[in-house]
Amino acid sequence: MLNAFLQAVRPAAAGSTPVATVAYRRAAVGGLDIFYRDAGPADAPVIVLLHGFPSSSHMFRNLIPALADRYRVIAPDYPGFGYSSAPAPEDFAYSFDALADVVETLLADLGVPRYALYLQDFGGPVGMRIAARHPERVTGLIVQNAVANLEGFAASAVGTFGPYWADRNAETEKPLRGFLTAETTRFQYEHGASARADRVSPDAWQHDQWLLDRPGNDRIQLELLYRYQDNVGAYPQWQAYLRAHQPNILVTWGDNDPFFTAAGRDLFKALVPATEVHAYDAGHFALETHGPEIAAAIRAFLARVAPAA
Amino acid sequence: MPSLSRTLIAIGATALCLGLPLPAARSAPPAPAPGASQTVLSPTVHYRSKTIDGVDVFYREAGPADAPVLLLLHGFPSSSHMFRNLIPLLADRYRVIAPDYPGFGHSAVPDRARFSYGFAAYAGLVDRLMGELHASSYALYVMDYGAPVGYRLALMHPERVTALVVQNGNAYEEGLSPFWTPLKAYWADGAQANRDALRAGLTAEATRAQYVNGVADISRIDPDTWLVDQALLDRPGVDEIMLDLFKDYASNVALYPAFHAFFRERHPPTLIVWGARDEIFPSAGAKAYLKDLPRAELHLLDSGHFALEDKGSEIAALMRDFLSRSLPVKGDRPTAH
Repeated sequence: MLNAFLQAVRPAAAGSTPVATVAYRRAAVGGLDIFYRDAGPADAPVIVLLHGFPSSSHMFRNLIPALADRYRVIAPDYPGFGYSSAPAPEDFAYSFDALADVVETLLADLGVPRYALYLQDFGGPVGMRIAARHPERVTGLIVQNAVANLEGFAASAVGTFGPYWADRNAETEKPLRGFLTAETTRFQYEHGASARADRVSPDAWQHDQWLLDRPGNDRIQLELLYRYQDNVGAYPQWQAYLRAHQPNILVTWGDNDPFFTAAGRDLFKALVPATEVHAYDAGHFALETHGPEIAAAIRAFLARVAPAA
Repeated sequence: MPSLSRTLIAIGATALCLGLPLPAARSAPPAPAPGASQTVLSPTVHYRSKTIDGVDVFYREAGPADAPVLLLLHGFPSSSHMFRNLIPLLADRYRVIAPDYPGFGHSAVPDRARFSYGFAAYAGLVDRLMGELHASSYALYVMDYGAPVGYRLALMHPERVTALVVQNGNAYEEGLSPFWTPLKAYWADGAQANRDALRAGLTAEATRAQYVNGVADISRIDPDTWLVDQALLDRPGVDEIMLDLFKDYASNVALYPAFHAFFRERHPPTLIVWGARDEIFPSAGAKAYLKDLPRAELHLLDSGHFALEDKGSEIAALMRDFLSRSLPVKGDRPTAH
């Protein structure tokens, strides 16, 4: 009966596109249980989606099906985020090097030799490390509100981080704890959404906040926010990589991001002139309000740099 | 890495006023590459709320304002979140509205002293919401709690119901599995011990079981589902609300004959898509509909209670076919039937 109905596709119903199947998987990586969303044909070109703070692969929940008909899409949760293991800082040395190691090992274990990387926020330092280590593996970089230069960092954010990086103590930690509150999480999604405010799903900040509110997760996040200064130190290396290797880059940027500036957006084209830049009237989590536009830009970009067979 | 003090000085000196001499940011995108044009732009979903009788009612809304309305009514312990993937698959052709009942999802959780939690109150609120949204007729998608809410709405306004899509939404005694034995005990005797026995149904284990039981490939099930539902169930005071609703479910069973009469008298076009491995509402409940709706289209799916999680594509395809015949959209070519 079902087949009969499915075969009897009428004109009016023909526009239906079956949604791509997403698998929710786990892999053991260095003693950690790493969660990842996995979709698309196993033999298709790969795109790896690297999430920001304080989110997880959840931020890609709508982007994945928009790409997975033509690409294999892999979106891991870093340790301490989403559904991956979240060992205490005493048991796991949280750093951006360590997060990059975990993602790199996961991709190796999955037998993925080449991939495009989508970088958002924390995904920048994770993905730029992987790309700089293995330029030959990277078919392209999609940069969405992730920075590789000092100037890309808003002055107000510098004012928050600077004292903590210079002298980590209970007093300098206080402003950083502000990053872990429900108010800030909601702000991260809603600020700059502008005319599209009613497209920001409350699922997004609610989901992130529940995971942040897990006992002990604050200590993990504060550790990573402290180690974020390592990224500032690595900017010259990443810039040297970009200049030397001239990777394919697509920038899809929410221009109303309170943390990352236009100077962060423009760095990529300055170093890699062939870079394609799309700027949106959107905030830090631009996918919430401009998902279809960004998906379309990614599809056009990947069709050029990583064509499906 | 540069010394921290040098770094901070550099940032302080440059961040506020720095402007590298860069080319203009917005470059013209290159011509579309082959294959890219197949992009399917997902319809936009809006996240909104309206205050109804002093209660903030959240709803997801998508699709053309003048299209036929499809009202999605969620089950326990979920919310409109359960329709997050279905909505974009239908909203190119239909105006899709999916509310959260008070106590669920992003809707308010009024105090029990102020709001009489029960299925009659939910149907009343959804009715008011439809009025506010100028939705004067609608097809109903009913799942679990959505069935008694939707059928009560149908009893209030039988002429407004254009079609039914029934997914593990029960309306027959045959559909109540042994899962319901402790609930029936509480219906028969409202003793505190009987109420407390139902708290097991509010745990993380029970919530996860609702999603994974009866599912062949658990990797298909998005763990967001039970994370979201459980976090909301765990809010202070929600447990008592849920227990009140467990009690009030008896009033739905009492209305089954009235629901059946509505089916028989109005014979709305009906599509039944039912996870056949549901341990809460077994497939006998699906088949029972045919007694009163002999022309209903029945599809038993190899899935569980929340069949949308692993059979969303199939259900959407069945719905699009069914709705294209029973709920034509302006501009459609007529089809022979």
